[in-house]
Amino acid sequence: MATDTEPVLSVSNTSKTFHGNVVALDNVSFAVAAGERVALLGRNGAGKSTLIKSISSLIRVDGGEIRVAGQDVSRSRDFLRGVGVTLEGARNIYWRMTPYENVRYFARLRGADTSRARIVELLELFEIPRALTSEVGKLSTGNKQKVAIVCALVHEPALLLLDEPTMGLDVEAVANIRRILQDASRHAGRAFLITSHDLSFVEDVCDRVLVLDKGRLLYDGRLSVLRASATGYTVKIVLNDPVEVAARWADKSQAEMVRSDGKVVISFQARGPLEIFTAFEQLAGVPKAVLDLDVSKTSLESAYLTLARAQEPS
Amino acid sequence: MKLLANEFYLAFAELRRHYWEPVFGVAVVSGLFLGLYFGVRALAQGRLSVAAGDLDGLLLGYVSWGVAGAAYNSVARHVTQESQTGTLEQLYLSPHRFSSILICRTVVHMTSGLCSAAALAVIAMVGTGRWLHVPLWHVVTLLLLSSVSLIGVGLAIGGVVLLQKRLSAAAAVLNILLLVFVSVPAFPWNAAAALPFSYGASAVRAIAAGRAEPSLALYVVVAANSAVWLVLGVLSWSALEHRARSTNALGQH
Repeated sequence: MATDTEPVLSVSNTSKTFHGNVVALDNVSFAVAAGERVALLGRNGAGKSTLIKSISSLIRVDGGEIRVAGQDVSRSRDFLRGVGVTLEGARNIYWRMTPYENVRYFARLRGADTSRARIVELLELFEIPRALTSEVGKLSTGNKQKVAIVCALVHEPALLLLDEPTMGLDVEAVANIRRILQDASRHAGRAFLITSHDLSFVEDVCDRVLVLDKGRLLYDGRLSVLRASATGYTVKIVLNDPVEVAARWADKSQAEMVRSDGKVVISFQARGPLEIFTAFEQLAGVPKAVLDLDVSKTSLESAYLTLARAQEPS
Repeated sequence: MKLLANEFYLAFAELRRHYWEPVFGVAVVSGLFLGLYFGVRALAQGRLSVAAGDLDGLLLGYVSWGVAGAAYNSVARHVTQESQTGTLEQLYLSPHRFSSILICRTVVHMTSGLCSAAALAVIAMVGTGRWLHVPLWHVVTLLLLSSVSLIGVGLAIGGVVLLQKRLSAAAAVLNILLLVFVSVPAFPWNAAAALPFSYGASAVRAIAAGRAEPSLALYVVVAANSAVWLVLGVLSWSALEHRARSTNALGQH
């Protein structure tokens, strides 16, 4: 049984290798407390989905221990009463049934309240159209995903695992999912572990980040700390004089230069405003050559990519 | 019981909206049967001699095929479909054991299969004007008992499909092999009796034709055959499912 101080999820020294040599998880350890909203970031093949499936006991790990609410996931299925999962790329729900029928089926499968009033209330809360009449297969991708999340939430789990919940969704649908998760977390105090490539979504929904790369946990900390590590600016200049520009920027090894249709796009990282002004001074002689200019604070995405690239062999 | 009721709910919810699918299926199979029946009768009036018992056997063979198909597909087709649609993993995410869900689904599917077989039998009897005079209780019990062997086969094939998704088409083709299991003469006793379902199906036809009487020995042989195939199926499924969970193959269709 879980105690008050026990984390909702505890992953200890967990490893998994496929086909003898493909390392999916490499001695991963972390814990998630009740109410925490954690993002799991990493490039394709980093091990994110393997980790989600390992926590759900869909994959047997080679070593280590995973506990949900104090229960070892390899020894009991009872922990699944406290876990809701939607998996990446999977339909997760029955397309030939209505949203109502899906939620009712999965609610009963997970031992939850199956009263019509409660299910209808949930579906209304998620603003799912034609929830009582239309087959899920006829709904939009965003609404299908919402139904899958309702099914994962219907038994009021303490831990929700979402693998790429915004993949393939339009801007409005992503905004809807964002609102739903924010509400679900606030009202019920449940913990989330979300994988996503949509970093702006992660920034809005989560407050802690785990970064996986080649199965190893590279970063485990507050989102704000990772964001703060992304100091400086990203500068992008579009010019129309390749010859002149090439000469001026030849010695600027950190700049990335792309030629296209007689234009040159130069991008570089600047540590501070002074570095930007210095760069602009070099363009003083050719002011008419500048077609466009963009200066922005370095993003979470850049910080995350820097972290991942730092692990690559030079 | 709640789990079983939930599976009936799932099946009914789908059937309510797609009722024409089983209706169409029964209509096609009935049409095929009636075509075959009247074709055989036309030939018999010419040169061949077909006994009334043989025609009863033909009808029972068709019903047996329906039950056999329901038993085999209750596991093999469901596992394949759920794996393809991505709902299989959600079933594994239930606090109930997947095997419990599978057993409930099998009961639901067998019930639906029996209803289809009964409808087929009634249509066939009305269409041919021949009414079967068979010990119904024994026939139904023997067919159901025999069909357990095909649930075992379905488990083994379903396990293979979990690991090798490309074989899902081959699993469907195995439905044709059921015709062999149903029609091979395995009664009173020969090597074919070791095949799944064959001994029971043959015995039922023999009973219908008046060549055999239901007996305890007959039930024991059918039960033993089913038990062996079911155990083999469960063992295969367990090993293959374990492998699928180790290689992340549960839902990777």
